[in-house]
Amino acid sequence: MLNEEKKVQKKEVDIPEGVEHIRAGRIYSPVVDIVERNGDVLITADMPGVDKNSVDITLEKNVLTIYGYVTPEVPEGFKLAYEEYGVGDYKRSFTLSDEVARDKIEATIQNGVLTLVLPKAEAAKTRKIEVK
Amino acid sequence: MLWTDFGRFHRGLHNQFGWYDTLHEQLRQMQDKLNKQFSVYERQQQTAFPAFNVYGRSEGVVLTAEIPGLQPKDIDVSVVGNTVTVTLERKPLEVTENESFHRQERWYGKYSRSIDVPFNVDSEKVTAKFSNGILYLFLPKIESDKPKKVEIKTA
Repeated sequence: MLNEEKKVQKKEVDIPEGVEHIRAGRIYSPVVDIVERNGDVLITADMPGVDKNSVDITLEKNVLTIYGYVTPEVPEGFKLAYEEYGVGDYKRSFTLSDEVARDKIEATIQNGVLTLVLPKAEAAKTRKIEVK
Repeated sequence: MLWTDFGRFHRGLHNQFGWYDTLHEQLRQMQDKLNKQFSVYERQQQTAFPAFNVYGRSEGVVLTAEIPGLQPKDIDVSVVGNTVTVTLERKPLEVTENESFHRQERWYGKYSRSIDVPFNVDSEKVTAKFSNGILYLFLPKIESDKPKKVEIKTA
Protein backbone atom coordinates (compact mmCIF):
# COMPACT_ATOMS: atom_id res chain seq x y z
CA MET A 1 0.00 0.00 0.00
CA LEU A 2 1.32 3.41 -0.85
CA ASN A 3 1.07 6.27 1.57
CA GLU A 4 0.26 8.77 -1.11
CA GLU A 5 -0.53 11.68 1.12
CA LYS A 6 2.79 11.71 2.90
CA LYS A 7 4.03 15.22 3.46
CA VAL A 8 7.55 15.66 4.66
CA GLN A 9 9.06 19.06 5.09
CA LYS A 10 12.44 19.91 6.48
CA LYS A 11 12.13 22.20 9.43
CA GLU A 12 14.57 25.00 10.03
CA VAL A 13 15.88 25.37 13.56
CA ASP A 14 14.57 28.17 15.70
CA ILE A 15 17.24 30.72 16.32
CA PRO A 16 17.14 32.00 19.88
CA GLU A 17 16.65 35.74 20.01
CA GLY A 18 19.86 37.69 19.95
CA VAL A 19 21.90 34.80 18.55
CA GLU A 20 22.81 34.77 14.91
CA HIS A 21 24.72 32.39 12.74
CA ILE A 22 27.85 33.54 11.03
CA ARG A 23 28.06 30.61 8.66
CA ALA A 24 26.15 31.07 5.44
CA GLY A 25 23.24 28.83 4.64
CA ARG A 26 20.28 27.35 6.37
CA ILE A 27 20.29 25.04 9.36
CA TYR A 28 17.69 22.36 9.67
CA SER A 29 16.50 20.38 12.60
CA PRO A 30 16.82 16.68 11.76
CA VAL A 31 13.86 14.42 12.48
CA VAL A 32 14.63 11.87 15.17
CA ASP A 33 13.32 8.67 16.69
CA ILE A 34 14.06 8.17 20.35
CA VAL A 35 13.61 4.70 21.78
CA GLU A 36 13.94 3.79 25.41
CA ARG A 37 15.44 0.34 25.63
CA ASN A 38 16.29 -1.79 28.56
CA GLY A 39 19.89 -0.79 29.11
CA ASP A 40 20.11 2.31 26.96
CA VAL A 41 18.38 5.04 25.00
CA LEU A 42 18.63 4.97 21.21
CA ILE A 43 18.50 8.20 19.21
CA THR A 44 18.23 7.93 15.44
CA ALA A 45 18.44 11.07 13.31
CA ASP A 46 17.96 11.54 9.56
CA MET A 47 20.83 13.66 8.26
CA PRO A 48 21.14 13.07 4.52
CA GLY A 49 24.41 14.33 3.08
CA VAL A 50 26.36 13.90 6.31
CA ASP A 51 29.07 11.28 6.75
CA LYS A 52 31.33 10.37 9.63
CA ASN A 53 33.79 13.13 8.82
CA SER A 54 31.22 15.87 8.79
CA VAL A 55 29.34 15.22 11.99
CA ASP A 56 30.11 16.79 15.34
CA ILE A 57 28.73 15.45 18.55
CA THR A 58 29.40 17.46 21.66
CA LEU A 59 28.40 17.01 25.23
CA GLU A 60 28.59 20.09 27.36
CA LYS A 61 27.28 19.93 30.87
CA ASN A 62 24.11 17.98 30.27
CA VAL A 63 23.35 19.14 26.73
CA LEU A 64 24.12 16.77 23.90
CA THR A 65 24.34 18.55 20.56
CA ILE A 66 24.55 16.92 17.17
CA TYR A 67 25.73 19.05 14.29
CA GLY A 68 26.04 17.83 10.72
CA TYR A 69 27.96 19.88 8.17
CA VAL A 70 26.60 19.54 4.66
CA THR A 71 28.62 20.49 1.62
CA PRO A 72 26.06 20.86 -1.15
CA GLU A 73 27.00 18.41 -3.85
CA VAL A 74 25.97 20.03 -7.10
CA PRO A 75 26.79 17.82 -10.07
CA GLU A 76 29.63 19.36 -12.03
CA GLY A 77 28.46 21.70 -14.77
CA PHE A 78 24.81 21.56 -13.72
CA LYS A 79 22.68 24.43 -12.50
CA LEU A 80 19.77 24.23 -10.11
CA ALA A 81 16.60 24.32 -12.18
CA TYR A 82 13.90 23.40 -9.69
CA GLU A 83 14.01 23.11 -5.93
CA GLU A 84 11.64 21.25 -3.65
CA TYR A 85 13.84 20.86 -0.63
CA GLY A 86 16.49 23.08 0.86
CA VAL A 87 20.05 22.03 1.55
CA GLY A 88 21.83 23.05 4.71
CA ASP A 89 23.46 21.91 7.93
CA TYR A 90 21.71 20.02 10.68
CA LYS A 91 21.61 20.84 14.35
CA ARG A 92 19.69 19.55 17.28
CA SER A 93 20.28 19.46 21.02
CA PHE A 94 19.03 17.15 23.72
CA THR A 95 19.14 17.54 27.44
CA LEU A 96 20.39 14.44 29.17
CA SER A 97 19.38 13.32 32.58
CA ASP A 98 21.80 11.94 35.14
CA GLU A 99 20.81 8.44 34.13
CA VAL A 100 23.09 8.45 31.10
CA ALA A 101 26.60 7.04 31.38
CA ARG A 102 28.26 9.90 29.56
CA ASP A 103 31.60 8.34 28.87
CA LYS A 104 30.00 5.38 27.10
CA ILE A 105 27.95 7.18 24.44
CA GLU A 106 28.46 5.63 21.03
CA ALA A 107 27.68 7.08 17.63
CA THR A 108 27.58 5.60 14.15
CA ILE A 109 26.42 7.06 10.88
CA GLN A 110 25.36 5.15 7.80
CA ASN A 111 23.52 6.21 4.67
CA GLY A 112 22.77 9.58 6.19
CA VAL A 113 21.27 8.20 9.39
CA LEU A 114 23.01 8.97 12.66
CA THR A 115 22.57 6.45 15.45
CA LEU A 116 23.44 7.35 19.02
CA VAL A 117 23.40 4.84 21.82
CA LEU A 118 23.24 6.34 25.28
CA PRO A 119 23.81 3.61 27.86
CA LYS A 120 22.14 4.07 31.18
CA ALA A 121 24.31 4.47 34.22
CA GLU A 122 24.42 1.45 36.48
CA ALA A 123 22.38 3.16 39.14
CA ALA A 124 19.54 3.94 36.76
CA LYS A 125 19.03 0.49 35.30
CA THR A 126 15.85 -1.21 36.27
CA ARG A 127 16.60 -3.96 38.68
CA LYS A 128 14.40 -6.75 39.61
CA ILE A 129 14.27 -7.17 43.32
CA GLU A 130 13.83 -10.63 44.54
CA VAL A 131 11.47 -11.23 47.37
CA LYS A 132 12.82 -13.66 49.85
CA MET B 1 -4.37 36.56 8.46
CA LEU B 2 -2.23 39.00 10.39
CA TRP B 3 -3.32 40.55 13.63
CA THR B 4 -2.30 44.05 12.82
CA ASP B 5 -5.53 45.67 13.84
CA PHE B 6 -4.99 45.75 17.59
CA GLY B 7 -2.91 48.88 17.39
CA ARG B 8 -5.26 50.91 15.26
CA PHE B 9 -8.27 49.85 17.24
CA HIS B 10 -6.99 50.84 20.65
CA ARG B 11 -4.79 53.84 19.99
CA GLY B 12 -7.38 56.54 20.48
CA LEU B 13 -8.84 55.13 23.68
CA HIS B 14 -6.17 54.42 26.18
CA ASN B 15 -4.50 57.70 27.10
CA GLN B 16 -6.38 58.29 30.36
CA PHE B 17 -5.44 54.99 31.89
CA GLY B 18 -1.85 54.05 32.73
CA TRP B 19 -2.72 50.39 33.16
CA TYR B 20 -4.11 50.37 29.73
CA ASP B 21 -0.68 51.08 28.30
CA THR B 22 0.63 47.95 29.97
CA LEU B 23 -2.26 45.93 28.65
CA HIS B 24 -1.77 47.40 25.23
CA GLU B 25 1.90 46.50 25.28
CA GLN B 26 1.05 42.95 26.27
CA LEU B 27 -1.45 42.69 23.44
CA ARG B 28 1.15 43.98 21.03
CA GLN B 29 3.62 41.35 22.17
CA MET B 30 0.99 38.67 21.77
CA GLN B 31 0.32 39.92 18.29
CA ASP B 32 4.02 39.69 17.44
CA LYS B 33 4.19 36.15 18.71
CA LEU B 34 1.11 35.13 16.76
CA ASN B 35 2.46 36.65 13.58
CA LYS B 36 5.69 34.73 14.05
CA GLN B 37 3.82 31.50 14.61
CA PHE B 38 1.66 31.92 11.53
CA SER B 39 4.52 32.95 9.27
CA VAL B 40 6.08 29.52 9.83
CA TYR B 41 3.05 27.88 8.24
CA GLU B 42 3.06 30.26 5.33
CA ARG B 43 6.64 29.42 4.49
CA GLN B 44 6.22 25.67 4.63
CA GLN B 45 4.64 24.85 1.35
CA GLN B 46 4.39 21.14 1.18
CA THR B 47 5.46 19.05 -1.73
CA ALA B 48 4.93 15.45 -2.65
CA PHE B 49 7.27 12.86 -1.19
CA PRO B 50 10.07 12.27 -1.91
CA ALA B 51 10.97 15.86 -2.68
CA PHE B 52 13.15 16.32 -5.75
CA ASN B 53 15.70 18.92 -6.68
CA VAL B 54 16.47 19.17 -10.36
CA TYR B 55 19.79 20.33 -11.80
CA GLY B 56 20.02 20.89 -15.53
CA ARG B 57 22.35 21.41 -18.45
CA SER B 58 22.00 20.92 -22.17
CA GLU B 59 22.70 17.15 -22.17
CA GLY B 60 20.12 16.31 -19.54
CA VAL B 61 19.21 16.71 -15.89
CA VAL B 62 20.21 15.34 -12.52
CA LEU B 63 17.41 14.58 -10.07
CA THR B 64 18.31 14.42 -6.39
CA ALA B 65 16.25 13.23 -3.44
CA GLU B 66 17.03 12.97 0.25
CA ILE B 67 16.05 9.48 1.30
CA PRO B 68 18.39 8.51 4.15
CA GLY B 69 18.56 5.11 5.75
CA LEU B 70 17.86 3.09 2.63
CA GLN B 71 19.91 0.49 0.83
CA PRO B 72 20.11 0.65 -2.95
CA LYS B 73 17.86 -2.42 -3.07
CA ASP B 74 15.04 -0.48 -1.37
CA ILE B 75 14.93 2.00 -4.22
CA ASP B 76 13.34 1.29 -7.57
CA VAL B 77 13.73 3.67 -10.48
CA SER B 78 12.02 3.30 -13.84
CA VAL B 79 12.03 5.53 -16.89
CA VAL B 80 9.44 5.48 -19.66
CA GLY B 81 9.62 8.16 -22.36
CA ASN B 82 9.83 11.37 -20.37
CA THR B 83 8.39 10.02 -17.12
CA VAL B 84 10.59 8.98 -14.24
CA THR B 85 9.15 6.95 -11.39
CA VAL B 86 10.90 6.45 -8.08
CA THR B 87 9.50 3.90 -5.65
CA LEU B 88 11.01 3.35 -2.24
CA GLU B 89 10.30 1.75 1.05
CA ARG B 90 11.66 2.38 4.51
CA LYS B 91 10.78 0.28 7.52
CA PRO B 92 10.16 1.83 10.92
CA LEU B 93 12.58 1.01 13.73
CA GLU B 94 11.63 -2.23 15.33
CA VAL B 95 10.95 -2.20 19.01
CA THR B 96 10.34 -5.13 21.25
CA GLU B 97 7.75 -5.32 23.96
CA ASN B 98 9.96 -3.83 26.65
CA GLU B 99 11.01 -0.90 24.52
CA SER B 100 9.02 2.20 23.78
CA PHE B 101 9.21 5.23 21.51
CA HIS B 102 9.71 8.55 23.24
CA ARG B 103 9.56 10.14 19.87
CA GLN B 104 8.89 8.89 16.38
CA GLU B 105 9.34 11.66 13.87
CA ARG B 106 11.11 9.81 11.06
CA TRP B 107 9.05 8.77 8.07
CA TYR B 108 8.49 5.18 7.08
CA GLY B 109 6.37 3.31 4.58
CA LYS B 110 6.25 2.76 0.87
CA TYR B 111 6.17 5.73 -1.46
CA SER B 112 6.11 6.21 -5.17
CA ARG B 113 6.38 9.37 -7.18
CA SER B 114 6.49 10.08 -10.89
CA ILE B 115 7.65 13.25 -12.49
CA ASP B 116 7.83 14.34 -16.08
CA VAL B 117 10.94 15.92 -17.50
CA PRO B 118 10.62 18.19 -20.54
CA PHE B 119 12.43 15.83 -22.94
CA ASN B 120 12.61 12.15 -23.81
CA VAL B 121 15.11 10.30 -21.69
CA ASP B 122 17.70 7.98 -23.17
CA SER B 123 16.79 5.18 -20.78
CA GLU B 124 19.85 3.07 -21.71
CA LYS B 125 22.18 5.76 -20.41
CA VAL B 126 20.47 6.65 -17.14
CA THR B 127 22.83 6.37 -14.20
CA ALA B 128 22.02 6.39 -10.51
CA LYS B 129 24.14 6.93 -7.44
CA PHE B 130 23.21 6.73 -3.79
CA SER B 131 25.54 8.34 -1.30
CA ASN B 132 25.05 9.37 2.31
CA GLY B 133 21.31 9.03 1.98
CA ILE B 134 20.99 11.14 -1.17
CA LEU B 135 19.88 9.67 -4.48
CA TYR B 136 21.38 11.17 -7.65
CA LEU B 137 19.74 10.23 -10.93
CA PHE B 138 21.30 11.36 -14.18
CA LEU B 139 18.75 11.48 -16.97
CA PRO B 140 20.34 12.18 -20.37
CA LYS B 141 18.33 13.46 -23.31
CA ILE B 142 17.90 11.17 -26.31
CA GLU B 143 20.09 12.19 -29.25
CA SER B 144 17.24 13.76 -31.22
CA ASP B 145 16.30 16.06 -28.34
CA LYS B 146 19.78 17.42 -27.80
CA PRO B 147 20.52 20.91 -29.00
CA LYS B 148 22.15 20.96 -32.43
CA LYS B 149 24.53 23.51 -33.69
CA VAL B 150 23.34 24.98 -36.95
CA GLU B 151 26.00 25.74 -39.47
CA ILE B 152 25.52 29.06 -41.19
CA LYS B 153 26.84 29.16 -44.69
CA THR B 154 27.85 32.29 -46.41
CA ALA B 155 25.93 32.91 -49.59
